[in-house]
Amino acid sequence: MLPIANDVRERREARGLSQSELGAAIGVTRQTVAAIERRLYSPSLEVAFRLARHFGCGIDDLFRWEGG
Amino acid sequence: MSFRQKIALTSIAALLLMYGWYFAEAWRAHEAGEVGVAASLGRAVLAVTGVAALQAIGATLVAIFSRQDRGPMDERERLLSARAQQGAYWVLLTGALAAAASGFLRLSALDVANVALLAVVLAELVRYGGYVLLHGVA
Repeated sequence: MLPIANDVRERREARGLSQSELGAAIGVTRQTVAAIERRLYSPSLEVAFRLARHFGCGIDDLFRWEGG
Repeated sequence: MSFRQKIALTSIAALLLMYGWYFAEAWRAHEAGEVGVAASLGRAVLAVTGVAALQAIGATLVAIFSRQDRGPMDERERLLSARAQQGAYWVLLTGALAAAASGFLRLSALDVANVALLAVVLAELVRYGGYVLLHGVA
Protein backbone atom coordinates (compact mmCIF):
# COMPACT_ATOMS: atom_id res chain seq x y z
CA MET A 1 0.00 0.00 0.00
CA LEU A 2 1.36 3.41 -0.95
CA PRO A 3 1.99 6.12 1.69
CA ILE A 4 -0.47 8.61 0.22
CA ALA A 5 -4.00 8.06 1.57
CA ASN A 6 -7.10 9.55 0.01
CA ASP A 7 -10.84 10.03 0.43
CA VAL A 8 -11.74 9.35 -3.18
CA ARG A 9 -13.98 6.36 -2.43
CA GLU A 10 -15.89 8.19 0.32
CA ARG A 11 -16.45 11.30 -1.81
CA ARG A 12 -17.38 9.27 -4.88
CA GLU A 13 -19.90 7.16 -2.97
CA ALA A 14 -21.33 10.25 -1.26
CA ARG A 15 -22.15 11.59 -4.73
CA GLY A 16 -23.58 8.27 -5.91
CA LEU A 17 -21.00 7.91 -8.67
CA SER A 18 -19.68 4.62 -9.99
CA GLN A 19 -15.95 4.17 -10.57
CA SER A 20 -16.62 4.19 -14.31
CA GLU A 21 -18.52 7.48 -14.11
CA LEU A 22 -15.81 9.15 -12.05
CA GLY A 23 -13.13 7.79 -14.36
CA ALA A 24 -14.94 9.13 -17.41
CA ALA A 25 -15.31 12.53 -15.73
CA ILE A 26 -11.59 12.90 -15.03
CA GLY A 27 -10.20 11.03 -18.05
CA VAL A 28 -8.97 7.75 -16.57
CA THR A 29 -10.22 4.16 -16.67
CA ARG A 30 -12.40 2.47 -14.05
CA GLN A 31 -9.41 0.31 -13.10
CA THR A 32 -7.30 3.39 -12.39
CA VAL A 33 -9.98 4.85 -10.12
CA ALA A 34 -10.12 1.51 -8.30
CA ALA A 35 -6.31 1.44 -7.95
CA ILE A 36 -6.29 5.00 -6.55
CA GLU A 37 -9.00 4.12 -4.03
CA ARG A 38 -7.11 0.98 -2.92
CA ARG A 39 -3.85 2.99 -2.58
CA LEU A 40 -2.16 0.84 -5.19
CA TYR A 41 -1.53 3.81 -7.44
CA SER A 42 -0.68 7.43 -6.68
CA PRO A 43 -2.03 9.63 -9.48
CA SER A 44 -0.08 12.37 -11.19
CA LEU A 45 -0.58 15.95 -10.06
CA GLU A 46 -2.77 16.52 -13.11
CA VAL A 47 -5.19 13.71 -12.20
CA ALA A 48 -5.08 14.75 -8.54
CA PHE A 49 -6.12 18.28 -9.59
CA ARG A 50 -8.86 16.85 -11.81
CA LEU A 51 -10.18 14.79 -8.89
CA ALA A 52 -10.06 17.73 -6.50
CA ARG A 53 -11.80 20.02 -8.98
CA HIS A 54 -14.44 17.36 -9.61
CA PHE A 55 -15.16 17.07 -5.89
CA GLY A 56 -14.92 20.82 -5.35
CA CYS A 57 -12.12 20.64 -2.81
CA GLY A 58 -8.37 21.14 -2.59
CA ILE A 59 -5.79 18.46 -3.26
CA ASP A 60 -4.75 18.43 0.39
CA ASP A 61 -8.36 17.80 1.40
CA LEU A 62 -8.42 14.75 -0.83
CA PHE A 63 -4.91 13.35 -0.35
CA ARG A 64 -2.74 13.14 2.76
CA TRP A 65 0.67 11.73 3.53
CA GLU A 66 0.65 8.74 5.91
CA GLY A 67 4.19 7.56 5.32
CA GLY A 68 7.03 7.77 7.81
CA MET B 1 -10.56 -6.89 -16.48
CA SER B 2 -9.84 -3.88 -18.68
CA PHE B 3 -10.12 -3.68 -22.45
CA ARG B 4 -6.35 -3.61 -22.91
CA GLN B 5 -5.81 -6.53 -20.50
CA LYS B 6 -8.15 -8.61 -22.65
CA ILE B 7 -6.28 -7.52 -25.78
CA ALA B 8 -3.00 -8.53 -24.13
CA LEU B 9 -4.43 -11.94 -23.21
CA THR B 10 -5.56 -12.58 -26.78
CA SER B 11 -2.04 -11.64 -27.94
CA ILE B 12 -0.52 -14.10 -25.46
CA ALA B 13 -2.84 -16.85 -26.73
CA ALA B 14 -1.93 -16.03 -30.35
CA LEU B 15 1.81 -16.07 -29.58
CA LEU B 16 1.61 -19.36 -27.67
CA LEU B 17 -0.47 -21.03 -30.35
CA MET B 18 1.47 -19.98 -33.45
CA TYR B 19 5.01 -19.94 -32.06
CA GLY B 20 4.34 -23.06 -30.02
CA TRP B 21 3.57 -24.78 -33.30
CA TYR B 22 6.55 -23.14 -35.03
CA PHE B 23 9.12 -24.13 -32.41
CA ALA B 24 7.70 -27.64 -32.06
CA GLU B 25 8.15 -28.05 -35.83
CA ALA B 26 11.60 -26.45 -35.70
CA TRP B 27 12.65 -28.86 -32.94
CA ARG B 28 11.25 -31.83 -34.85
CA ALA B 29 13.16 -30.76 -37.99
CA HIS B 30 16.32 -30.20 -35.94
CA GLU B 31 16.09 -33.68 -34.38
CA ALA B 32 15.39 -35.24 -37.79
CA GLY B 33 18.44 -33.51 -39.22
CA GLU B 34 16.39 -31.59 -41.77
CA VAL B 35 18.11 -28.41 -42.95
CA GLY B 36 15.45 -27.10 -45.33
CA VAL B 37 15.83 -23.34 -45.04
CA ALA B 38 12.93 -22.68 -47.42
CA ALA B 39 10.55 -24.84 -45.35
CA SER B 40 11.71 -23.15 -42.14
CA LEU B 41 11.26 -19.72 -43.68
CA GLY B 42 7.77 -20.71 -44.80
CA ARG B 43 6.86 -21.83 -41.29
CA ALA B 44 8.27 -18.61 -39.83
CA VAL B 45 6.28 -16.47 -42.27
CA LEU B 46 3.16 -18.50 -41.46
CA ALA B 47 3.75 -18.05 -37.73
CA VAL B 48 4.28 -14.28 -38.02
CA THR B 49 1.24 -13.73 -40.24
CA GLY B 50 -0.80 -16.15 -38.11
CA VAL B 51 -0.02 -14.18 -34.96
CA ALA B 52 -0.94 -10.92 -36.68
CA ALA B 53 -4.20 -12.40 -37.97
CA LEU B 54 -5.15 -13.93 -34.60
CA GLN B 55 -4.32 -10.68 -32.81
CA ALA B 56 -6.52 -8.74 -35.23
CA ILE B 57 -9.39 -11.20 -34.79
CA GLY B 58 -8.96 -11.21 -31.01
CA ALA B 59 -8.84 -7.41 -30.81
CA THR B 60 -11.96 -7.15 -32.95
CA LEU B 61 -13.89 -9.61 -30.77
CA VAL B 62 -12.75 -7.89 -27.57
CA ALA B 63 -13.77 -4.50 -28.99
CA ILE B 64 -17.21 -5.86 -29.86
CA PHE B 65 -17.85 -7.45 -26.47
CA SER B 66 -16.01 -4.95 -24.24
CA ARG B 67 -17.53 -1.50 -24.36
CA GLN B 68 -15.59 0.14 -21.54
CA ASP B 69 -12.20 1.84 -21.62
CA ARG B 70 -11.71 1.66 -25.37
CA GLY B 71 -10.17 5.13 -25.51
CA PRO B 72 -6.47 5.92 -25.38
CA MET B 73 -4.35 4.63 -22.48
CA ASP B 74 -4.51 6.68 -19.32
CA GLU B 75 -1.43 7.58 -17.25
CA ARG B 76 -1.51 4.40 -15.12
CA GLU B 77 -1.85 2.15 -18.15
CA ARG B 78 1.09 3.92 -19.81
CA LEU B 79 3.13 3.38 -16.63
CA LEU B 80 2.24 -0.33 -16.48
CA SER B 81 3.03 -0.71 -20.18
CA ALA B 82 6.42 0.95 -19.68
CA ARG B 83 7.23 -1.32 -16.73
CA ALA B 84 6.26 -4.40 -18.72
CA GLN B 85 8.43 -3.23 -21.63
CA GLN B 86 11.31 -2.70 -19.24
CA GLY B 87 11.09 -6.34 -18.16
CA ALA B 88 10.78 -7.49 -21.77
CA TYR B 89 13.88 -5.48 -22.71
CA TRP B 90 16.07 -7.60 -20.43
CA VAL B 91 14.62 -10.81 -21.87
CA LEU B 92 15.30 -9.51 -25.39
CA LEU B 93 18.82 -8.42 -24.45
CA THR B 94 19.60 -11.82 -22.92
CA GLY B 95 18.14 -13.58 -25.94
CA ALA B 96 20.14 -11.44 -28.36
CA LEU B 97 23.32 -12.29 -26.47
CA ALA B 98 22.34 -15.98 -26.52
CA ALA B 99 21.80 -15.77 -30.28
CA ALA B 100 25.22 -14.15 -30.70
CA ALA B 101 26.78 -16.83 -28.48
CA SER B 102 25.12 -19.59 -30.50
CA GLY B 103 26.75 -18.10 -33.59
CA PHE B 104 30.16 -18.28 -31.97
CA LEU B 105 29.41 -21.90 -31.03
CA ARG B 106 29.17 -22.61 -34.74
CA LEU B 107 25.51 -23.56 -34.72
CA SER B 108 23.80 -23.37 -38.10
CA ALA B 109 22.41 -20.06 -39.34
CA LEU B 110 18.93 -21.54 -38.96
CA ASP B 111 19.53 -22.39 -35.30
CA VAL B 112 20.91 -18.89 -34.62
CA ALA B 113 17.83 -17.42 -36.30
CA ASN B 114 15.58 -19.62 -34.16
CA VAL B 115 17.34 -18.54 -30.97
CA ALA B 116 16.87 -14.90 -31.98
CA LEU B 117 13.21 -15.54 -32.83
CA LEU B 118 12.69 -17.30 -29.51
CA ALA B 119 14.12 -14.25 -27.75
CA VAL B 120 11.64 -12.00 -29.54
CA VAL B 121 8.72 -14.30 -28.67
CA LEU B 122 9.72 -14.58 -25.00
CA ALA B 123 10.16 -10.81 -24.77
CA GLU B 124 6.69 -10.31 -26.25
CA LEU B 125 5.22 -12.81 -23.78
CA VAL B 126 6.88 -10.97 -20.90
CA ARG B 127 5.62 -7.64 -22.25
CA TYR B 128 2.00 -8.77 -22.58
CA GLY B 129 2.08 -10.99 -19.49
CA GLY B 130 3.70 -8.28 -17.39
CA TYR B 131 1.09 -5.77 -18.48
CA VAL B 132 -1.73 -8.12 -17.43
CA LEU B 133 -0.16 -9.08 -14.10
CA LEU B 134 0.92 -5.56 -13.11
CA HIS B 135 -2.74 -4.47 -13.14
CA GLY B 136 -3.26 -6.49 -9.99
CA VAL B 137 -0.46 -4.85 -8.00
CA ALA B 138 -0.23 -1.24 -9.22
